[in-house]
Amino acid sequence: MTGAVGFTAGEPPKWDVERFMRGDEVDTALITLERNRLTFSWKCADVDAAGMALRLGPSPMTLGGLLKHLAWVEELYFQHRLAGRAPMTPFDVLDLEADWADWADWAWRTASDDTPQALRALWTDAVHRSRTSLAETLSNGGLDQATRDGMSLRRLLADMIEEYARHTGHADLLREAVDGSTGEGAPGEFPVP
Amino acid sequence: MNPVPTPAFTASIHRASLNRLAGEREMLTRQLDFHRATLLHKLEGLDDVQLPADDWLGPESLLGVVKHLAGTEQGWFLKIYAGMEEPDLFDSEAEFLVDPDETADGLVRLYMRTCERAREVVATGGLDDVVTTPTSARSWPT
Repeated sequence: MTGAVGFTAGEPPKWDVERFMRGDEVDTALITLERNRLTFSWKCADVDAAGMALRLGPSPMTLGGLLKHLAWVEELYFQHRLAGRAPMTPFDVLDLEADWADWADWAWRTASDDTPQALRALWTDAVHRSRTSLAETLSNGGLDQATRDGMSLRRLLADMIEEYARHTGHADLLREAVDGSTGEGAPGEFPVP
Repeated sequence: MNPVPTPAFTASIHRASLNRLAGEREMLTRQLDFHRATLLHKLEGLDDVQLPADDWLGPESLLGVVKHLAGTEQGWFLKIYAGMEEPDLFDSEAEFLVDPDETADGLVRLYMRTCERAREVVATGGLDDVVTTPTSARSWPT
């Protein structure tokens, strides 16, 4: 499995500071995406079932729901749109494009059916599959390559970074409400998802 | 006679749809503008009484986020990137807190003015320009 340089699943990240600070467009996009995934993973680590189901105010969002939602977005973007492959279970039962509204609500409705371990594993599996699809595509060219719905790979990566940045902010507030934990980034030894 | 109600805030910048085939610069700048506009649209229809409400968010009210991001635009684009020497807009330790004399209108105007200055700086620079980051950012990325 190939991610951005220095991001190997299960190991602490090996930051290539030169490429992080002064990398080209591909380096910057990949490292930024991996950095956001790492932070999101850290926010969801060591949270029990009650924590995964905790809600804030009127919002249906939960940490468990975010894991399911982001697993779905990983599959939609990197399997369906980029690789042209079928998404994995349980995302293979609906038409991902036609049933968008139903899927948008699905994660929040169903997350409490799963254990915290299963929720984290679902998201992590999706991330691993995304890295494989992305590495395949980048072996054939750069960010101007078109994806299946007409957006460039550049746009797809920008959307994905936006997706994580926005939802990691939600996870910040949810995690603080769960156990008081705050912080901007994972400690250095925290493993890459 | 009823008091004149405070007009509700209306977002004044457009959430432009994004060019799905844009090159690097257009993609980055339009993405950033899209999110700047999204922030302002989250304030849409609220008035000054509602805006600084501290319910479950505590002091991190919507206006506190506007203040924080105005300071971030100034810090990264104007001071660090463009090297402008000017005082910080807000005390970074208290920027999520809204003072009683600060209004939604005033803070949003300041935010939009700062974004406009940031756009001008970015438009004249190059994406590969290298700048010296402040000590507080040198521990990056960990």
